[in-house]
Amino acid sequence: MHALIVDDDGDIREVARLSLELIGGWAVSEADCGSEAIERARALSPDVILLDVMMPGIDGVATLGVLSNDPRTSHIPVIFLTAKAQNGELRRLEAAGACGLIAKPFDPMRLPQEIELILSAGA
Amino acid sequence: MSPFGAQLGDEYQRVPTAAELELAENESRYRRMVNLTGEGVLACDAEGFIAFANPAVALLADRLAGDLVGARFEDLVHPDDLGIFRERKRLRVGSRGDTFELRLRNASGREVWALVNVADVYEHGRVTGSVALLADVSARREAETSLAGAEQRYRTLLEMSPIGMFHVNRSGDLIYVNRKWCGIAGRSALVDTTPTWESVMHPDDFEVAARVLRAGFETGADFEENFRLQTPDGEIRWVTVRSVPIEATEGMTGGRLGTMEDVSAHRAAEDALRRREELYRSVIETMTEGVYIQDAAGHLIESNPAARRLLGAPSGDLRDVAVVREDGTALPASEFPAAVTLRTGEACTEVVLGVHDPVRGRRWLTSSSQPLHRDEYEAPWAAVCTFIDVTDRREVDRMKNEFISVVSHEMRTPLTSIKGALGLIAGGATGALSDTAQRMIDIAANNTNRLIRLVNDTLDIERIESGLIALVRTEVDLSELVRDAVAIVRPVAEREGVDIVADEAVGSEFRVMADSDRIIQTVTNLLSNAVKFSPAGSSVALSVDGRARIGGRDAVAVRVIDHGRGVPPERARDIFVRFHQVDASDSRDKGGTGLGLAICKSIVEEHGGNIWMEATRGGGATCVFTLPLSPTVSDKNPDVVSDAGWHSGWGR
Repeated sequence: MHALIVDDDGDIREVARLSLELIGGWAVSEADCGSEAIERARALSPDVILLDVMMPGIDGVATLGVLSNDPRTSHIPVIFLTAKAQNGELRRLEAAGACGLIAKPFDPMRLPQEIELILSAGA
Repeated sequence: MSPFGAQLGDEYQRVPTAAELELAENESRYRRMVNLTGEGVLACDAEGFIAFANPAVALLADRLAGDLVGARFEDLVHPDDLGIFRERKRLRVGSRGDTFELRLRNASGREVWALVNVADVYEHGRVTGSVALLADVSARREAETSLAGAEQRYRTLLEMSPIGMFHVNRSGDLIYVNRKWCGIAGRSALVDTTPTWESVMHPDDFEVAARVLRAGFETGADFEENFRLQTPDGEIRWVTVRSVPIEATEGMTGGRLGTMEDVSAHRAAEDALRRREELYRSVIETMTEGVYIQDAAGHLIESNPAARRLLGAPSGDLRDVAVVREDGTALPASEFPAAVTLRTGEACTEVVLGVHDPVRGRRWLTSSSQPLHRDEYEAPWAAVCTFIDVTDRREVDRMKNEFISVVSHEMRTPLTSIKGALGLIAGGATGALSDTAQRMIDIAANNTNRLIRLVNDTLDIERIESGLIALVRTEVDLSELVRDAVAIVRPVAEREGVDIVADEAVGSEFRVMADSDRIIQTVTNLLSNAVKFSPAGSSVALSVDGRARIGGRDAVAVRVIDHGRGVPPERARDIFVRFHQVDASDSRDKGGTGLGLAICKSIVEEHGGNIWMEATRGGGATCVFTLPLSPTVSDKNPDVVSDAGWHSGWGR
């Protein structure tokens, strides 16, 4: 299992990486912004992308738009990681076409399990 | 013997002389004349016995002329008038004669009035008889009687009239007023003297009113005037006086006849109405809410200054400005609240309208309209439309929204790292720790979780109360939601050694219009609370009762009953207020945030229900909440995505 973690906050990236590596035993790549995420997704073709929503530059929703319109990346499932909780936001995120959402703060001991759950529900 | 009798007696007893013959011829001539005349002629002796009566007397008495001689004059008089007859006879002693009227006794019962001219005959100063002439005046008396009757009737009518009436002479002075006139003027009707206008008028009105009245009386035309009277006890009455001229006739003074009506009550009602209108007008003129009223034909009846200001239109008419919907598209005049109300007869509430203010740019108004009905069966004749400027409120809402969004994000980001890092260490993912280190890390991790809950709950309650979370209401079975909540709490309860016992009704179906996730959250909160405060080995009971009421509507009540230490009655209300736990140390000991019940209250109230705390019989607390049973259509946006995705991916 190979996950690409996209978040502008390095600490969160690191916690998520450790969780997926230590608990799930996954391979993990990181990106700190939307454009890097698009590049890395094209290059690495990961099994899943954990995408932060609020990022400077290209935000999560725009990044997802690019990814899903690109034949090289459109097949990769994207799960939003978000600290936003408002209805308007959630509606927008759902409409953007992600296959699921994990709220921050997440439980690091259960993160891999939760991702697998969402992926199996979407499959 | 009567003088005539004596003469007649003598006539036949010796040979008459030539002079006597001439006398006899004259007498015969007079006798024939007396017999022919229509006037009754009667001669009586000193004792009142009739010596002679002509046929006219017989006619008046309806008796044979022959029967009259030898009868008494009194016998011809109607018994009721005998008194008059005798009295006149007594009074005329010594006089030349008398004239009076009385009724005769008529054999056929007819009432005969006679004018009696009677003179006594004297010889040597002694009354030796009397001569009377009787004229039939029955016809005249009858006419007089009926005239008097008519006048009496008219006078009674005047006196009984509910309208004041008066008669003034050519100078305008009162010569007759009726009882009602006196009543209006507050004067006794029994006073002999006729009042004057001056005596009844209000002093302030006197000069003008008297002049107007006199001028009116002087014209030949009908006229009508209003002025004030003042009664003797100081009461002021408004009267309307109308009058018509009348010509003088026999027995009637010329001048004017008129009516006077008390219109005080009418004027008072008008005054009250005018004052009310002034009151409402001043309210409408000064209120900050815009108001305009449009009739069924589409005409603007009324608009207030606030309407003119808010719409930026001098007319205060919404139809004179360009109006847009929230999405910026033009709103046609047929969709304006007043137009919709006039068309459908239904009220419109809180329709959002965008108008353009030349100085401040786009302004947002919410507008409501109400139909005005003359009666409940008719279409409205007008619609009252009100609007308020909500531009600032919307801006504040937007800023609050943004603030919540920012706080939510900015606080959760560092908490994510902290929780993640601590979670991994505490979970042993980074390797084994010493017992002390493990203990410290657990404390940090637990408190991080508490902080996160606090942030979540605070944002939750803010968003529920500010309406940012729209309830997603569907028709659901409340029992099913209750069973879901029990399933969520049961593992925790088992750890605490507390049994959750649901009553049989939890198996029945209770349809409610509700946001499932929010109701499950509520029941879960209440159950967790109950478990938290229950001693190990005790039980928490749960019941559902479909016989509750909310303001006259059928409702279902959910009860969560614990046997913990209970809630003092004086705190029963407080505990639904944020951060009001029964004991301040509870939040630390029990790991709560102090917001759980406040959130429950917000949710239940948003559903149109109530929530309260009761004491449990035998100790402990019972928390009850109710929800309306009959279906209620959500007036918010039912298609809004619920917040549920937050905790567990999209949907449940």
